[in-house]
This record gives sequence, C-alpha cells and structure tokens, in this order.
Amino acid sequence: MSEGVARFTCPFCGAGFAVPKTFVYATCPYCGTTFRVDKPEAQVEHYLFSVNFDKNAAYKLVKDFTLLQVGVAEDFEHSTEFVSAYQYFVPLYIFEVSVKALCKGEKVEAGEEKVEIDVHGGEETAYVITPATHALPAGIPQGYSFPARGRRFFKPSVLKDGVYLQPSLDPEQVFSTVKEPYLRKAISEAQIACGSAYEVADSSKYIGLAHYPFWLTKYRYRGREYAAVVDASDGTVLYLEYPISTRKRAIGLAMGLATTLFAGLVGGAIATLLTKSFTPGLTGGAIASLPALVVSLQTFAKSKGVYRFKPSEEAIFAPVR
Amino acid sequence: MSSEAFRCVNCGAPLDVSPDTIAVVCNYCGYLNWVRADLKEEVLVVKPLDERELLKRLQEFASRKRLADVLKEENIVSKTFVAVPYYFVDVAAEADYSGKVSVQVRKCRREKDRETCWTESRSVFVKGVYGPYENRIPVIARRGTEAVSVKALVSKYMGGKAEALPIESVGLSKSFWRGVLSIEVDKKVAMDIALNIHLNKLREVVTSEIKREAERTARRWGETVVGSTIIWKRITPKNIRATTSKPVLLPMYIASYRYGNELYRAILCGWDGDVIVLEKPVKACERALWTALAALSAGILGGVGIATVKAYIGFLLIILGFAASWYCMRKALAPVKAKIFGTSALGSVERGFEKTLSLTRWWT
Repeated sequence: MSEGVARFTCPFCGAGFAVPKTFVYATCPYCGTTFRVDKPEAQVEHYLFSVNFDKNAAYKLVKDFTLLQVGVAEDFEHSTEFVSAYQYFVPLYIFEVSVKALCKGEKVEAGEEKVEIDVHGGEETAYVITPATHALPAGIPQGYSFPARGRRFFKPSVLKDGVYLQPSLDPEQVFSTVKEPYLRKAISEAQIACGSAYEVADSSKYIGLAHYPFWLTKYRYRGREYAAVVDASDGTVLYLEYPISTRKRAIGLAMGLATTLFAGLVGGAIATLLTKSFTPGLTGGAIASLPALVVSLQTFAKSKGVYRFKPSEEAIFAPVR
Repeated sequence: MSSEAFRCVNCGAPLDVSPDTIAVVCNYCGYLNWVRADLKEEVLVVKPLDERELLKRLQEFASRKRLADVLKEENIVSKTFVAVPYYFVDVAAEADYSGKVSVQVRKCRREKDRETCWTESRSVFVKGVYGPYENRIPVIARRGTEAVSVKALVSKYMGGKAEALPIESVGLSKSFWRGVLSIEVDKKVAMDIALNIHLNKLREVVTSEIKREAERTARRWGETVVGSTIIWKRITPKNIRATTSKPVLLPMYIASYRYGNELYRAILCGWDGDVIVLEKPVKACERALWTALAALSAGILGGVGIATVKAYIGFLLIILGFAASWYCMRKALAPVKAKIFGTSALGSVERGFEKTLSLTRWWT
C-alpha cells in the first residue's frame, strides 16, 4: 500500500476500501454511502445530478448553439469535426444559514405552524450552495445556479465514468466564510433593536454534498481547436468558442464604424439645430457611441468568437431548467 | 439510501424514486405510491389544466405574436409539468422606534433688492410605535434561487382566485407526478425565512417613517425642508406573530419547440394557461434595429449634451449616451435569445425596472 492512501471500513455496509489521504469525503464503492474521512460516523446527504445529455448529445447542442451565434463561419456545419469530450462532476456544498441575534430576555414561542416573539433583535436565514473545490474546469460562471430538478441519490457507479472532482475545501472553513455576512447583518439589526444587550443564537446547518456534471467538449474547424462547456444535466451551453468568418468580421467592424459615424452625424445635426454649429455635435455623438464601437470591436476583432453564459440574464428559467 | 429500495406497494415492481419524489405512479400497474407518507394528508395542490388545453392556449398566444408556424405541435421537443411547492406565511409585527434626525432646511433673507439663501440643519427627535404591519409572504419550499418565472407564478396565485385542494382529492395525471418538486424546507425554516423577509421590510418602512416624521415636525415649525439624514435610530420589532399555511404545489408547464435550427421555450401558468414567458431567438432585423437604436440614442444624447449650456447636464447626457449605446449594441450582438413576457410576468419585471429607476433617481 502506498504512502498517500488510507484504508477505511464503510460505516454502513462494513466493506473495506482505500481512499487517498487528501480526500475530505469518501464514498463507499459498494453501497454508495458518503461520509467524512475524519468523522466516519456522521453521514452526510450526498446527491448527484443526473446526466441527461451524453457526449454525442452535448456535441450536437454545441453545434446547434454555435449556428445561432452572430458572425459564425458560413461552412461551420460541414467543416467541423468532433475532437474530444471529458465529463466533470463538480462538487458543491449545501448550507442552511440561520442566525439570530436575540435581545436579552427575548421570549420565543415556536409551535408546529406558529411562531410568537415578544421583543426581537435580528435574524438572517438563507440557503447557500457553493463549489467545494477551487479546481473548477474553465468556463463555469460564478454564481451559476443549479436546477432544482433532476437530483438522484449518489451512486458509486459514476466513479467509473467521468472525472469526479473531489471536494477539497474544508466544509467548516467554507461554512464560516459563507456565514460571516449574515451574522454581521443579524448583529447590526440587533444593535439597532436593543443596543449591546443581545445574544447570538446560531442554528445554521451543513446540509450536504452534491455532484453536478459538465461536459468539456472540443471540436476542430479548419485545423484549429475550439472548446465548449455544456451542463450535462440540462444542456445549457455555458462557454463556447466558435469561428467567425473573415467576411462577417469585416461586415461587423464596418457596422460598428458606421454606427459611430451615424451617431456623429445625428449629434451634429442636433447641435446645428440648437446652436448652429456642426462640429461639436459631431464629436459629442461620436463620443457617446464609443461604447457601441468597443462592443462590436470586442466581438469581431478576433477570428475566435467567445460566448459566456451570464447567470443574471438567465434568471428566468434558472430553477426549472 | 439507494433507489432499489423502493418497490410498488401494489405489484412489487421497482419504482423510479429520486430524492425529490413525494409520490410516484407505478409504471406497471398505475398505483400511486407515497414515498413521503408524512406529506400524504398535508399537501395542497392547485389543479392544473389538461395538457391539451395548455398547448391550445400556447397556440393562441403564439398566433397573436405571429409565431403560429413555429409553435406547432409537431415541433415540440420537450414538454413537462413542474409543480413548485410554496408555503404562505402570514406575519404581523409592530416596532418601537426612536431616532434623531438631522433635517436640512432652506433659509432665505432679503437684503434690499437681493435675496440670499442657505441651508441649515435642525436636529429633530422622534419616537413612537409602528404597526401592526401585516403581510402574507410566499416562501418557496426548495433550496436554491427564486427566478422571475417562479415569482410571476406565485404572484399570479396570490392575486387570483385559484383554489388549492388536498392533493389526494384532485386526481392527477401520471405526467404531472413526475414533475412534482419535493418539499425540502420544513415549516419552521419557512417561518424563519418569512420572518426575515418581513422584519427587514418592516425595518425599511420604519426607517423611512422616522425620516418622514422628523421632516413633518420641522415643517410644523414653519421650515422649508430640503432633505434629512438619520443620526441614530432604534427599531425594536415586537409582538411578532407568524402562521404558515400547508405546503401548496403550484403547477407550471414548460414546452420547448425546435423550428429549423432555432429553439423556442415557453413557460405557462399551469392552472389557467397564461403564458408567463416565451423565449425566442433574436432575428437579424431585430439586431439591425438595436444597432440603429445604438447609433440614434448616442447621436441624440451626445448632440444635445454638447449643445447644452450647463456643463454638468451636458456631461450627464453624454454619460447616458454612453450607457444607451453600450446597452443597445450589446442587445444587437446578443447571443441568441430574446424574451416575450406574458402579462403576469410583466409585473415582476416592472418591479425590477422600478428598482433601476429609483437607483437612477438616487444617482441624479
């Protein structure tokens, strides 16, 4: 047995197996029970989001999605070939934050369906889902929300397919960082309510661990490789590189310049109407349209176009994707 | 904890159970099995329309938006019910408050034929009890983010007369059961969440009440008020009461269509077939329109900005032109998607818009 490996006995089924010493969590390959390596008796909830798109389906999604992009090369559909696909399972921690800063002597009567409080300080409640590792594959945006549906119980069989990323961050440390702003807010509310006479009651909980699948797909177009990241559970394309044709780049850049020119002319015309001088208005209009020019330059300056998923723009479908 | 453990009570066939499952209809014999027996008596549901009927409503909406060719039944790639569980928590609270506010007042003096004006501050102390402040707060019984579509669904439910019935009495189809999202948040936590939302709102309301009252007092002294700042405040919520409803499942219906290379998605309110949102690809003419708008807005704002006499207003207008041209160009080159909102979602979007407006008001 090598240096970096420790032997474990599954607290649930009793089977013995080996786990690298760097692991925070271990999953029994026989029964699927997940437990903390340092506290084997404390079982945690462990979910897996199901893979609903296999690598061919993911590649097809990438191709379809690319065809919708602005300026994509005309012969894209016929000149691309599949290169590779890797599946990643990204680990996530799920926390329930519930902190209260109670005024001294605060009486709380909490029943099954009713709560009564006489005098109250501060409170914060929230659910937080955060990546359990820093080693995320490129292209997964910050604040990406995961769909509410499609969870399964974790099964050890997934260990065979795909790269199963280990949760490497210490959950307690992550938890306290996550909790910090909520705690501060509850305390400041209590200070406004009852000065310094408050007590902190923290009933926050660590709910468990979930693994979420992504595809990292690569394809080739005219000898150059392009990458894409696809959510393997719901098929959202998160990151996409695509070829832009020379002709369309020229058109796009010309369009950007034309926008600036037109804005300048409009500005000039307005200034002529208002103050009888053309040139200052021309400058004003052109200056105000510079951001538009920058946006079109950003899109068309390179022959490799890049699309990035923005969580804020997708907030409509997010929880039911 | 593995799915193999669940078998149909009636015929013994294995059941497809996920951590979300509350109840599942057996694929072999059609028997309804309760996985979470504790929820059997307790869950209410708003009865969804028949799937045919929902698709018909979507068709009608599509033809109004000139998309009848696209949203044809043969173009459907996926369709599904999702039932989102909600608690409705009634919360009432009062607040003791006191505060010291510095109220800015405008003073003017007439000297011969010239008037000079300046601002002074008056210190005002206020004190009182606010409330009872009551509200019904919807709490989604799922961990994760709330989205516009879900918010639209719940505000539609709260504003409407849809009736929630005990789940056992409703007789739901097989396809519906597959879309029921399990209840993850218990009543106690739901009440905590509702209290947090309600009391934060109460604190906000009382804070502005403190300012308003101080300004009122200053006006009673005959002053011309121009603004106010709170120096210190105390807000103590008291007599708080929260009661929660049983969990209510609100059905929504999602359908996606493929038309050529393009993908369209629609979300419908499950019980009356209202379209909440329809997502469609951006057309070339729309892109052209946004580009033209970018040029036009930048030109107008830039031109007027330069022509304006007052430097700071001109500067502000040019900055606005910057923002407008950037926004429109981003829209023009946006990847793929545009949204058409149904009337019910517009409310939620408008509230977001109001927020931006109040932000600009604050800024200017």
